[in-house]
Amino acid sequence: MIQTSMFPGMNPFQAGYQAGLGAAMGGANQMGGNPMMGNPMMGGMAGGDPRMMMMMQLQQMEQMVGMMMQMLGGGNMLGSQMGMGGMDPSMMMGGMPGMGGGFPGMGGGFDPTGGMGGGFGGVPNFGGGMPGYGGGMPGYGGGMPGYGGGYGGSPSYGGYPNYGGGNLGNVQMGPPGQGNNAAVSLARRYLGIPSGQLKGVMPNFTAAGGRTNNCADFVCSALQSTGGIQGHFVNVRALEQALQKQGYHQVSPQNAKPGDVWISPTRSHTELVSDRNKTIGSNNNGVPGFQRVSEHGMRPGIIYSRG
Amino acid sequence: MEFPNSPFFLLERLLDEFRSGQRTSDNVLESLDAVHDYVEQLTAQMLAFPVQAEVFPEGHDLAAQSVAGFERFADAAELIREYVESGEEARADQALEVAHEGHETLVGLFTSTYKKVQELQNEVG
Repeated sequence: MIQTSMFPGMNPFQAGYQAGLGAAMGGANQMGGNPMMGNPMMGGMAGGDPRMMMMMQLQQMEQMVGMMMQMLGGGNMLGSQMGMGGMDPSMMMGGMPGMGGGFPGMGGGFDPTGGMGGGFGGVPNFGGGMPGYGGGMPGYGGGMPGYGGGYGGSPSYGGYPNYGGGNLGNVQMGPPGQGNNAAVSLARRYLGIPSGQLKGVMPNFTAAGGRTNNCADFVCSALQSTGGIQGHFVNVRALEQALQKQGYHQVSPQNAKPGDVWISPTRSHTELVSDRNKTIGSNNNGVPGFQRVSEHGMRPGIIYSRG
Repeated sequence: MEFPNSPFFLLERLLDEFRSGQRTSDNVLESLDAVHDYVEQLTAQMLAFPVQAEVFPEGHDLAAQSVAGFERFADAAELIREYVESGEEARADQALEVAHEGHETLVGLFTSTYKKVQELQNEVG
């Protein structure tokens, strides 16, 4: 019999969701100011351009709708509360081998003390006090040169994945570990996130393909950051050549193991083998011009392994 | 765009699990309470959203449409509750229809909003 996981009162996920949503809704909740106009915590630029301001409002609504639809891979808060095991434990808690700090928990939401210029409402993912990835520095959260200095905390888009602190949340992410499993663990940290936003967040990731073509960049970043490859390669063929030069060899799908590299037969796409029959990568998801990190069943392809 | 964790799919799964005996009625009702609370919280947040009509004239309409979509899920949850309590299969079917309406509404809103954001991003970027 399935047991529901109803919590009396506020559970940590709800708390994170509420705090994060409050953050997503802007400084009015957390900062006591008008989220649109001239709050110095917001970096100042947003107050000028009406298109920018409209975009910010649109994005916040988009985030709320996205939260209802729980569109991110690890963000199935409602499913979890319904006893459907919606949360991927690897997204919730750390302690994965070689992950360093790992994930102390989902949510956390907005930390008003974290992140200089904490962005528009202190969008928690990249802005709020993450020691691992620039918490409190103007680099990842506030003050990005993209959209009005700390608008959304995302360098490319502006807080798109920040559904209430759900996925990355205001969590402490330690440095990636080493080894095959560490590469997979690192890749899984970003499940559900548009890969174009991972520049500055995922170690070594360059978003070379913008929002649309980051598969090799993503795989290579996961490997490079965990000692699986030397150098950075953002093209599938270049990545394949580098793998061959660095001791990887082809194995059958039956012998694939986590951390191996899957490449499509046409060399148009690559992903990381995440499980015996699964791969994870920066994948198209049905919307043109948009890739996000997802994990799915392994398709026919070529697999490189170093082991 | 994929929404595998949409409340529509969750409610569909909940029904399946109830019908297959994996869940008791009490179990289902507890889950429906969670749905209700979730929708209520997000609805409140959306209604409290500080739309700035001078720069975002369609903001109020968009918020209203979003809330309408949210509320379809709450309506569906209520229908499932009635189904569980009465055993009337028609209620369950109706619940899924209503939930699907909400799903479609919100997918449409999300997609159109996303495109609009992209357009604006290109303009201001």
